[in-house]
Amino acid sequence: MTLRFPLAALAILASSFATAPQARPVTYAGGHVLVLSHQPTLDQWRYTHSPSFRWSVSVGGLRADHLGETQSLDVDYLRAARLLHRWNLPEAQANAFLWGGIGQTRSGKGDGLGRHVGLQLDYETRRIYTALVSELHEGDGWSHRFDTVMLGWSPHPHDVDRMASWVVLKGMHTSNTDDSRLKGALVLRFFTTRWWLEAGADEDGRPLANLMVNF
Amino acid sequence: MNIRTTLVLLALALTTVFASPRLDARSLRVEVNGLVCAFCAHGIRAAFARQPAVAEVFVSLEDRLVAIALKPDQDISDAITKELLTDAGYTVVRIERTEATLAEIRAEADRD
Repeated sequence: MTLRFPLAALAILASSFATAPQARPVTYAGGHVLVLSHQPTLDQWRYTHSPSFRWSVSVGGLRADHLGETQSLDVDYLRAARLLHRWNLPEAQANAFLWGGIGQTRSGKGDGLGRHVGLQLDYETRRIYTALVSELHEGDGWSHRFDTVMLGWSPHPHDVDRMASWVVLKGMHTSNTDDSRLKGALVLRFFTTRWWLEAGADEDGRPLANLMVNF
Repeated sequence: MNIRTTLVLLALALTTVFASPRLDARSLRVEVNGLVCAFCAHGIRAAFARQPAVAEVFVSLEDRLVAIALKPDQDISDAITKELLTDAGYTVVRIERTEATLAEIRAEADRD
């Protein structure tokens, strides 16, 4: 492997701003989270405040390209999210979240007001992570749904004062695009209580990265 | 000793036993469900840091444990403890008051 790939990954990580749809939409009461995400055709950023563990408000942006007739999409939005249900088990936690938002959009089909709605289902233990995220964006004459499915595994169970390390397989799909195949990706995930970092590549060798910070 | 004196002494003894066990406790040991992610557990320390009676907090995902060290002669009620952990997104299973220090609780968790 040449140096070009890791340098490109670092450059994208340093310069990209995006929201990871797989970041939890709601955290803990009083929590603030900044999320930055890059996928091959989708960049997002989001700042979330959770006044309660049941709901949150966010401001964010999304940039996507290779969207077929829409060509590209640029969205700045406000969003509210709700924890529909949580299952706190002795060795696991599962969640269902729902969110919706509105914002200013710019696309190949013109500018205007856009809306979106999303759903996240996840289940995790200290060794296994699974999640399904689906987010639908619509505007005047266009509609795209961004889906992500994840399966993660940790070689060792982490704890609060140790850095966690995971291997995560991702499947990503965007509707109404030039290429509607499910794209696979492999990322390495590292996190502590304050920060979370993912980096990897999809099956075409294009880099992905996510960064989250707890305040 | 007549009956009245006996009853008074018994009442005093019971009052002593039940009056302030909380002020003798140095720590709270809380068993919690849903503790599986360190990034998500950030809120636990943040919540208890704002409590005047709390000196320090220890969280162990492996033991499903949140241990809270109390400042001398101070206490935090079970109701507030449960509320803080619920607001952090977790479910409290059991709260136990102990004279063990946080260092002792941490050492016990590390041994397991």
